[in-house]
Amino acid sequence: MTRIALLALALAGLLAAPGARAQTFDLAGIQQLFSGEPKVEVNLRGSLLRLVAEASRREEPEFASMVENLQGIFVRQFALQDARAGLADRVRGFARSMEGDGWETLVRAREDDGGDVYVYLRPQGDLINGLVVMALDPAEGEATFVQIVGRIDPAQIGRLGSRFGVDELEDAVGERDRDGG
Amino acid sequence: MRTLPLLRFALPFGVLAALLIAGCASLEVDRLRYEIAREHPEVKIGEGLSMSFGRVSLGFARWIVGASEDDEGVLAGLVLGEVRRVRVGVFPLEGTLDTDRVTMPRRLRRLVERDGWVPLVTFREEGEAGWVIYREQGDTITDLFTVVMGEDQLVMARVSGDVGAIVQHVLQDGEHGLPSFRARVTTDDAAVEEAAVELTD
Repeated sequence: MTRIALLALALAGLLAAPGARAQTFDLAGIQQLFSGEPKVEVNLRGSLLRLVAEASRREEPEFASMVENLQGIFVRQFALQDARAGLADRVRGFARSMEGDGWETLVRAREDDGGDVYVYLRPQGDLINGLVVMALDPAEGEATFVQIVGRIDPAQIGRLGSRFGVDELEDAVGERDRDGG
Repeated sequence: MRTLPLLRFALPFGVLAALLIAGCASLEVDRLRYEIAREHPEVKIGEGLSMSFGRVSLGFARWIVGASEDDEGVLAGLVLGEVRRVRVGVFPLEGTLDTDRVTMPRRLRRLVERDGWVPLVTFREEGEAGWVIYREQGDTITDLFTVVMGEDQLVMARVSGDVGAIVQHVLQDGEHGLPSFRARVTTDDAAVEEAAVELTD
């Protein structure tokens, strides 16, 4: 009986809300936090990434080299009005699980307007092997999620933000530079 | 001189040439237009223009631009050489799109869910919406399909061919750059904005 009870508890733990489990960042999981489709969706991978690299090579050869080493750039922006209940808690849960999974915190901030910003990096030696941005912006009524998969030169993070319109990345690099980190 | 028989002989070829040059209406584009109009009764989509150009008409166009020696003619020839088929539609649009309700058109969704197409970009805000999907075979992007519902126009374009090579030719031409996902503010724009702020202050 005790063994069955223990097994049942373990099973209950596995079936608990996703935020309670340690998990790698998952865009499909993010979609479930919202009842509607994203307002903005970008999926850059494979041949298209190589195209972006070629397009940038003449003017920004370092940026082009970095983009060539990426496996994907994914952006999802949702309207906060489509958010299911408990969005902020769920996002904090994702953030905690990423920290437990070895991701490094670049930015973790609560804005004056009640918004939350999280920027996480996956270190691999001197380089970064993944980047995630999660930003809730009540003032604009938007929630933005960015995932970059692949080897990233830390010096190029800000340029990624400006090229692909991810303000949070640019701001995060600015904050890091001001903090001397 | 036997002009009339010559004309009778040449006329069918002339008509055929005109059709080939002009292209044919695109059933796929028209069907997509009707589908979008049904899904969004809050906007009125007018008749507009839909065209489809296949290998023959594109080959003819390549032959024509091939005679041009200027840079744009050369670029056009290179681009046309990589295109297998083009389907285009431009339709006037009246009314305000309900962007809270707009979703990917069913036809595009079927391409994504059943035929291996991949969504590249989707956006919907401020009365406008758009979708760009593409298909790859190996390392080659073979098809690109764009649908944009703007403030006053519905534009659709489907290009089949070596899309990557098309973009490469355009970029190597040097006059065009790959668009960023956000318009960059140029130094001139910033100066104009600054001047405007100073005036209002």
